[in-house]
Amino acid sequence: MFLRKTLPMMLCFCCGVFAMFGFFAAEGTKLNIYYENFAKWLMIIATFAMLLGIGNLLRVNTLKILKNHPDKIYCAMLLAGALITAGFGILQGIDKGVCMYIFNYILTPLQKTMFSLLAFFVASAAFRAFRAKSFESTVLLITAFIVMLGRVPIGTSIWPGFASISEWILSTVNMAGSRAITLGAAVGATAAALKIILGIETKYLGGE
Amino acid sequence: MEIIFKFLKNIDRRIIFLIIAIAVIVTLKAPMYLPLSVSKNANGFLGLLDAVQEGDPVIVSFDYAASGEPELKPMAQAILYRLFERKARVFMMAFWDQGPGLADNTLNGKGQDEGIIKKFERNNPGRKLEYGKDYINLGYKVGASNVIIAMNKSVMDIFSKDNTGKPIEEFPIMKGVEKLKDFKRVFALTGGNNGLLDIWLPFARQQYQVPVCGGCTSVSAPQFYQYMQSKQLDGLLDGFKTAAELLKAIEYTDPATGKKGDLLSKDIHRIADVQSVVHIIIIIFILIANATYFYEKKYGRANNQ
Amino acid sequence: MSEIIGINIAAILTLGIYSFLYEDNFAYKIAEYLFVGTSAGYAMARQYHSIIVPNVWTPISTGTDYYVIIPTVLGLLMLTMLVPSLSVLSRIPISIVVGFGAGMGAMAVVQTDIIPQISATMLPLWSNISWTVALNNFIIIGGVICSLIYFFFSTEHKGLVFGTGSQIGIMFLMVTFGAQFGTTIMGRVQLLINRCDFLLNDWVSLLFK
Repeated sequence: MFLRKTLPMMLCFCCGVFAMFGFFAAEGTKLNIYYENFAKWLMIIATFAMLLGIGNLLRVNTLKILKNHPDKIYCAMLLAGALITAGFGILQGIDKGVCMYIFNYILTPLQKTMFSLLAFFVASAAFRAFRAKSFESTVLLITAFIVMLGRVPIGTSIWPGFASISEWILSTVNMAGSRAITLGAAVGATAAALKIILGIETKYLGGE
Repeated sequence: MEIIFKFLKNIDRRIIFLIIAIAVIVTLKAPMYLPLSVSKNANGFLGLLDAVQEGDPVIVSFDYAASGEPELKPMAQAILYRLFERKARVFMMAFWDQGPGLADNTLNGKGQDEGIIKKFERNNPGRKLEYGKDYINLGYKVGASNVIIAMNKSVMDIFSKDNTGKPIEEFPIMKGVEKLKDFKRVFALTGGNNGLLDIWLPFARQQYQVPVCGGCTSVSAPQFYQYMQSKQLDGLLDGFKTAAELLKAIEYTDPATGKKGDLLSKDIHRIADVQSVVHIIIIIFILIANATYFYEKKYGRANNQ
Repeated sequence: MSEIIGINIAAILTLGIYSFLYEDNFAYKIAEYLFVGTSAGYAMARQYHSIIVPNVWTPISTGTDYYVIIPTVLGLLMLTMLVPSLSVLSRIPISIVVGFGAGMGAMAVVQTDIIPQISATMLPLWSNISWTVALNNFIIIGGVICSLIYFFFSTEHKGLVFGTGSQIGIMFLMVTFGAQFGTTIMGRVQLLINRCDFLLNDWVSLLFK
C-alpha cells in the first residue's frame, strides 16, 4: 500500500509544490538552482518514458506474432521497420546512411500521405454533413465560406474584400470566441493540476 | 430534378474523392499563377526579421514532423534566408524528433530542392555560410518545458553536443551564448501541440522574457490570434498563405542578370493556385448538399402529404 | 541510383496508402504498419543520439556529472512497467514527472492563458480612439464575456444576462468554429497537393526519363 499509493502521492505532492515555488524563484537563489537542475533530470526521465511507449508497442506486436494472430504479417512488418531503423540509426547515425534513407524515402512520404487522406475525408464530410439546418449552422457556414475565400488568391481575385473581412473575422470575432475557450480550458487545466498535486486525482497511477 | 437530387444525396464518396484528385492533378499541370498580394501579417513578420542585428543569436525551432512540412518549410526557408542576410547567428533546435532532419533538408535540400544555403550563396556571391559560425543545428531534446528551464541555467549543459555529435563549445557561434536569456529572439515553427503554445510562450516568453514569434499550420492558426492581440506573440505566420506572402516580400537582385526577384518560387505559386481550386470545389459541394437538403425538405414534405 | 530506387519506394508506398480510398486492403495495411514501425525506430535512434549519449552516457563515463545516475535509475524504474510483477516500481518516477509537470503546468497556464488574456480583454471603449477601434474593442469584450456566459452551466440560461448573453455567445462560438473549419481545409489540402506534386513531378517524370 505504501509503495503502491502513499509514496507516489507524497512524491507527487512534494514535486508539485516544489515546481510551483520554483517557477517564481528569483535567479541565483538556491531554490532556482535546484529547480533548473531538476528540470534537466526530468528531461532524462522523459526520454525513458518515450522508450517505454516504444517498448510497449514492440512488446504487444511481438506477442501477437507469437500467439499466431491473423495480423501477424503486419506486426512482423512493424517490428522489422522498427528494428532496422533503430539498429542502423544507433550504429551508423541518424542523419546518414540507411536511417537517413528510411527517413527520406519511407517515413516522411508515409507520414505525409497518411495525413493527406484527411483532405478527402474533409471534402466528403463537408458534402454529407454540412447543412444549414438552423440559424447557428448558417452563421458557421457563411463564416467558413468567407474565411476559405479570403485565404486563397482566387478569393481576392473575385473580390478583394474577402481578404480583409476574413482577416477581421479571424482577428476579432474568432479571437473573442477562442479566448473564451482558452480561458475555460486554462481554468480547468489549473483545477486538474491542483487535483493531481493534492492527491484527489490518482488515475495517473494506473488504478489499484 | 428529383432524380438528380436523389443521385446527389446518395452519391458514393469515392466519386467525391475522384473529383478532388482530378482537380488537384489538373491544376498542378495547368496552373493559373493568380496574383498574390503581401498582407499586413507578412509585412509585420518581415519587420521582425529585419529588426535582427548582425551577430544577434536567435533560435529557430523546428517543432514539426513531416506532416507539417508542406506548410512550415516555406516559412523556415523565408526566415532562414532573411536571418542569413541579416548576418544573425542562427541556432536551430527541435522538440519533435523529426525536427533536426527536416531542418537539414531545409538547409541543404533534398532531391530537386537545392536548399536554402545554395540559394542564398548563389544570390550573395561574396558570402559563404559556415556551419558553426553562421548557423548550427543543436538537434532534438525531449522534455519540452524542462529543456527551456534547464537552458536558462546553461545551454551547453543541455546541448553538450550538436546534431552531428560534436561538442558545441568548439564552435565560434557559441561565443557569448551561455543561457536562454542571451538569445535575442525565438522563431518557433510549430506543427501542433508541444511547440509554440505549450513551450515557447509560457516559458521562454512569459517566464524568461525572450521575445517569441512563430509560424503555425493553418489548422491551428485561429487559436493564435489571441496571443497576438495580447502581445505575447510579436508576430505570426498563420499557415501556407502567409508563408507564400513572406516569400514574395523577400526580394533579392540576381547577381548574374541584375534582375530583381523574390523568393516565391513557381512551385509555391502553383500550390497556391491548387488551394484556390480545391476551396472553390468544396464550397460548391457544400452548396449542392444544402440545395439537396432544402429541396428534400420542401418537396419531400409535400410528397408525404 | 539510390535516389531513383528511393523515389520508386516512396511512390509505391504513397499509392498503397491512397488505395484505402477505394477500400481497405493488404497494401494499405502493410504501409500503415510500416509507418508505425519506422516512426518508432526513428524515435528510438533519435532518443539514443540526442539524449542518452550526450546527457547520460558521456557525463557518467567522463566523470563530469555523476548525479545524472539518479534520473537514469528513475528512468529505468519507469521501464519496469513492462514487467507486471515489478510494475509497482514504475509509479515512483511517474508520480515525480506528473507532479512536477502539474505544478509547472498550472503556473505556466496561469501566467500565459489566464492573466495576460484577461488583461488583454480590458480594452478602452471611448477615450482617444477612433470609432472603428472602439467598435472592435466592444465586439471583443462582448464576445469574450458572452462566450464565457455560455460555458457557465451552474445557472439556467434565462433572462437578460444569462439568456441573451449565452445566445450571443453561441453566435461568437459558431463564427469561431466556422473560421476553424475554413482554415482546417487549407491545412489538410496542402498535404494532398504535396503528395500529388511528388507523384506527378518527381515519380512520373522519372518513369518517363
